[in-house]
Amino acid sequence: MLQQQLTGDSLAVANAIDKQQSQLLARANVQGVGIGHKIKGGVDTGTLSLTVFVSHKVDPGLLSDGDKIPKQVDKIPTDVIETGMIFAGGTPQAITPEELGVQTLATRVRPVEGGYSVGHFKITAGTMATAVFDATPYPAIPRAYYMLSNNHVLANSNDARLGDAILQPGPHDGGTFPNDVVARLARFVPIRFDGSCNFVDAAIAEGPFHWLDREIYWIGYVQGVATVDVDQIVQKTGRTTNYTTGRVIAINATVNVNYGGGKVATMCRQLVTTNMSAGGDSGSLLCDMNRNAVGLLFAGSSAVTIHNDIRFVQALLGIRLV
Amino acid sequence: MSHTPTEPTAEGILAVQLKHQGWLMQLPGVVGIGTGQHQGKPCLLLLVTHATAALTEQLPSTLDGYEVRVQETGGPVVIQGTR
Repeated sequence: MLQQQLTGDSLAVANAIDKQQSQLLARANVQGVGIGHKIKGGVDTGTLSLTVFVSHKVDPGLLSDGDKIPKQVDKIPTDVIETGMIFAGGTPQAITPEELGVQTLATRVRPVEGGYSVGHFKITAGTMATAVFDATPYPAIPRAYYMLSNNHVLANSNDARLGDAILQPGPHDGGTFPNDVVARLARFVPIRFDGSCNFVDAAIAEGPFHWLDREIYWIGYVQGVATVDVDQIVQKTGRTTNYTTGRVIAINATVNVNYGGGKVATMCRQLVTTNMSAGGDSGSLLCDMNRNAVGLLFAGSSAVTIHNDIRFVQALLGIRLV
Repeated sequence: MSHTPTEPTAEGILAVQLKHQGWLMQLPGVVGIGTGQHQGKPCLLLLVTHATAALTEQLPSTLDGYEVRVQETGGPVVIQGTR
């Protein structure tokens, strides 16, 4: 017999669970019960609650009275958390990428949203982060509107001229000149390969207002710009791996990044996350879970993804996201 | 909240990183270094392609009071245009 480790309020919740779990587990969609803090509007209230894990939340009107989770059990508040179906050993029968259809975000779309395939006419393809405008004058009537992505996506790793055509979708995804020109290279931050610090791999291309949408597919509109801390969960939508989430594992990182052809750039003040991308996702906007922009995805390996700090991107390109 | 001078701080760790990253990143297999976190405390996180014994035995376990941890990248870090 294991020694009882719980005390006080936790013990009261545990006792309630002991008494009530079989009738709770018998209800529709319920996958498990446990002790947790009540989460209200995404915020941890600190109040101990009896947490009921359900495969999916449904409108109470669709449930019979016997299947609804009561607001309280033995005077202890309940909290319902959606978990999806729980299986041992990871996801059930993971769908292979081939079955997902050929690169959904690699298609031609107007207006183009963040997450879709774009690229300089000489490159393969990357991702549009979002649409942006000049930092100054502000407030004002913007002189121009731009799409944001990486230097290596919109400016061919420095090997481009201002005014060069940007195709949507990118050339690798069938975009051709002149039919698929969506924007023209407007500014980029040159990347140095001499061992000195680079802070961003970033560029903007000017396009017609009605073709550039600030919305990011599956994420929505950027609400602001924020900083992140280690362990925070972040999200992005990109051309290759679609919508993904990751966890920040390092901030203020200095990373040597391979640009091909033996060229290596030292990137400083970067964000490192768990792997959340693959080739073609370069340029994706990294957001926190409150839709604040935090980074610009540009590189990775099989285990990690590297992002520029979005504050450097804004400052060095002289742009605003919001 | 104030920290005593000996207690590691987030500001302090960046200074420690900048002081040491030059020689650390010269080591073959080390591709990056940043501020990570372990057990609620800031630590130095070294990105290495593969944590071979030959490499890890050259790495310090702490630097100026901060724990040094290793994260494998599985290979070089490359830009992510389509390949």
